Amino acid sequence: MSINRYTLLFLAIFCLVAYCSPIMGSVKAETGDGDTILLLYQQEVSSSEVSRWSVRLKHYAAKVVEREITNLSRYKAPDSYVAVVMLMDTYDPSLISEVRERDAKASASPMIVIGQVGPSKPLPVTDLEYEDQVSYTDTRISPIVLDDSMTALAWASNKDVDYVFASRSSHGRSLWMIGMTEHNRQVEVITMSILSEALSSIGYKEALLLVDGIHARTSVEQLASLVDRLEAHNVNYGIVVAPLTDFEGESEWLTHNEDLIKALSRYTSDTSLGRIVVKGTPGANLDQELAVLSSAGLYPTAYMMPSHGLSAKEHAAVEASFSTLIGDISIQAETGAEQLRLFYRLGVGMGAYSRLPAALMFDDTNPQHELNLREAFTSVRPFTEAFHTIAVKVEVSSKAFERLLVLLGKQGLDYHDLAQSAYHVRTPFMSIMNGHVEVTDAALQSALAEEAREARGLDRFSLLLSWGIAGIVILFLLMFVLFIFYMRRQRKVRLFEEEDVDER
Amino acid sequence: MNGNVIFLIAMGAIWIMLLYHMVLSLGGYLYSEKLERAKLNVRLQRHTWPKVSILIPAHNEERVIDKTIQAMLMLDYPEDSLEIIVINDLSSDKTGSMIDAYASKYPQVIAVHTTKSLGGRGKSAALNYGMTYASGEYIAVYDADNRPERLALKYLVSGILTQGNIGAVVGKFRVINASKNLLTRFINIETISYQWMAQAGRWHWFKISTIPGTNFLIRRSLLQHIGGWDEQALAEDTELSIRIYEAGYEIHFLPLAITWEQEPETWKVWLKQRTRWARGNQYVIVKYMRFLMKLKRKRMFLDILYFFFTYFLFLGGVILSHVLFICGLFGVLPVTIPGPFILIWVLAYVLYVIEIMITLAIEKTELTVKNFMIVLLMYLSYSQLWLFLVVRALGLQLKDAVTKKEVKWEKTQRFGQ
Repeated sequence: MSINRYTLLFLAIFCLVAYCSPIMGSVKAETGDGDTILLLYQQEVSSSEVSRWSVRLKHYAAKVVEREITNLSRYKAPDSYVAVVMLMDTYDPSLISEVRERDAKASASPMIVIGQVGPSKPLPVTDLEYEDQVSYTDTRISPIVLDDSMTALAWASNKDVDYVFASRSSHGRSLWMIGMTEHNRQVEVITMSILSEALSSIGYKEALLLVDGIHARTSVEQLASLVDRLEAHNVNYGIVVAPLTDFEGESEWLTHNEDLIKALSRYTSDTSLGRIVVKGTPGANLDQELAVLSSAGLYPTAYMMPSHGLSAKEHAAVEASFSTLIGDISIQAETGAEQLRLFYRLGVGMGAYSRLPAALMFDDTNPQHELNLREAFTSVRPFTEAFHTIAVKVEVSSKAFERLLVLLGKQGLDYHDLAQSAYHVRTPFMSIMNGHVEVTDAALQSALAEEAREARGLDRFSLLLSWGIAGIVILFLLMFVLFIFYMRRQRKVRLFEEEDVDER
Repeated sequence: MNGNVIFLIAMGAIWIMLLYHMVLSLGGYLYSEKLERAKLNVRLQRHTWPKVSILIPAHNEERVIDKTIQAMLMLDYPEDSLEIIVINDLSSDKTGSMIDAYASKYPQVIAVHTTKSLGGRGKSAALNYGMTYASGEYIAVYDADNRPERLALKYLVSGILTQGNIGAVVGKFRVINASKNLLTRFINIETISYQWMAQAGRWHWFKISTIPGTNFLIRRSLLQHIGGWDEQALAEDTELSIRIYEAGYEIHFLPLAITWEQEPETWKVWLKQRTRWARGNQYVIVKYMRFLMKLKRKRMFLDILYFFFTYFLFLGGVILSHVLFICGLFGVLPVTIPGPFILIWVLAYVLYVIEIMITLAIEKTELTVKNFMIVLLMYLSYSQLWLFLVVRALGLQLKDAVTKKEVKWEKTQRFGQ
């Protein structure tokens, strides 16, 4: 067998294994039925660029189908899609026309062309203008030559000359063109806004509703007052639990509250709509936290980033364990905090890896939260509207919770089910793949859980020991200081006076 | 075992000792107050005084022996009831001739010279040899650099006469060259605090004290009964103390009997002397730990345990604590248990300072701002050397055990006065 045959055999086995593997399974699960966007690209466009756009487009559609279109004779259109996005590396207006002519659906669907969309080479610019907002930047754009059918949407200038770099055409069908040639934050914001506008007819709004702040001392009644209502309204939700909570120096495990554990198990069972989300505690041992939860029958689906950030090491541990992360990335690097705010849902199909935007908090003790929530739904940031994460504090009053549900009801949202999309949780002792739990090392799991129980005892002992020592020592010190003052006062009549050393 | 457990073990090991010393400090203070209340209620007015033989082992002590013998001759004690036996242990300097000169002039001074076959084997051997010349009912021991106060011997004798179960009485020693340099100031503070904490404190609470090697009086009959000094022991005083208790007697700490002695003035001499002490005490621990459960006096169980804690457990705790600190810098063995640990550390420091200040306050002349500043400094410098010292002693002990080298008494170098 030649080397090429070995290679082919290897590829064949790899494809077979990959197709049968849970990873591919998760891809299949993610790309289920729903709206589809067709992503076309020229051969010269790099694969990373294609992946990046695919991820962005998943913000608007459940499925993105990628096709390379350099050789149109080999091009085969998918069965159905609702919009076409075309990535261009080299300006070729005939290619756009040809795609539309060959595919009737493409002809009828909105089309967005991104990249080298004009005949002239990309030009350096310093100012961008979109919706009367001017931003200063340093990038290169591909200028568009407008014809009568086109309307300029965004401009770029290098101080001397203005160029159009985004336009819309309406000749029976909609065509958007965006002359984006370099990755730049300002250009991306404008592009995402235009995409949102272009795809609004097919976009959908989805929200992840979280009941936040569940810890060892949360009352079951408090939890039930919110969750029962969500169950009654058939709303999917996540329950954000802190496995280990510090109460004024004393750490307490969630599992210590047995009634709460029973309630959580009930609300997150297959027949209920709740899903467990683990809330990170910086410095905590994640594996141990997961061992404690899973030993109690609670299986998480996602991880919620702590508001005060994680160390780089902790962050790496979280990413290795969870495919679904909620919240901004905030890493406490040695040189200071690194922050990355996500405005939209980010998902990568192959790794079943997804990042959800930070939660909009709702807590009736803070009126600002409700205002922020209302503003989020009404502000002119189209692309952020498609996916919201809303966290409601478990202590919220029934009245306020009712208000929240009304507010959300007006948005026409679909409630995201964390277990519906592909996800995985991996630990050294257990893996959870799309709801299927497999304990790979039960001994390690119980050892870690046991260690946590011991650690709790150790914490109490440590507090007792250290405060006990402190208390006793402080008492003695006070007494000793009094003795010293007393002896100093009595010095003249004291006994222990030696003969003068100098005389000796 | 994780970092939390190791941390708690280290903290426990360290604080057992700190709390024990805290209680001892209180005992020392209470004992000093008891003596204050009794004032000079020690009966020094007697018609007859028992015969006392003072043993002074001397090996190359020409720098100090002159003043020591003079101080002995000035003791307030009937001449006919006192013999001063100065043992010249194979000195290569003028010590022998100086002793002979005094012996020819003063009948109460007896010069004893060891022979090559019997001498040069350390302090214990010299004392055993000297004891064969003693005729007194009581044996007093002073180092060759000591200058007891005039009433010191009378206090010691009074202390032993008042109670039948007292086998030995130990007095207090003070540093004669305390103001020489920073090292001698450290040692001065150390010796005062040791005596009021460990000696007076243990005597107050448990009726235990340890013979310090000098300025003590022991019944001759008892000494003969227990077989004299252990010539293998480098800390012959500690070893002897245990045997006295095992023989059914107690050692009374009577700080009214005062002697002044010279302490090392250089770090090199200090290190040599303290290493010998540490090795000596480690020898005693190893010797008696085996018989711990068979000890007749349960009080000694506590005392040997105390030595064990000092030289092994506390040391282990400090080393563990240091290891955890270094591991913590590299993110290994993190300590996550809760507790007011900064406060605990600060309290340990404050306790150290206050405990020592209490013992200094007992002494009429030592409660000064200067000494306070030195104590503040001591924690961070002098006291930390103890760790190095004990590890060094352990290393040498181990090395000698492996090479089967005979333990050799290393004499402390004296300084001119």
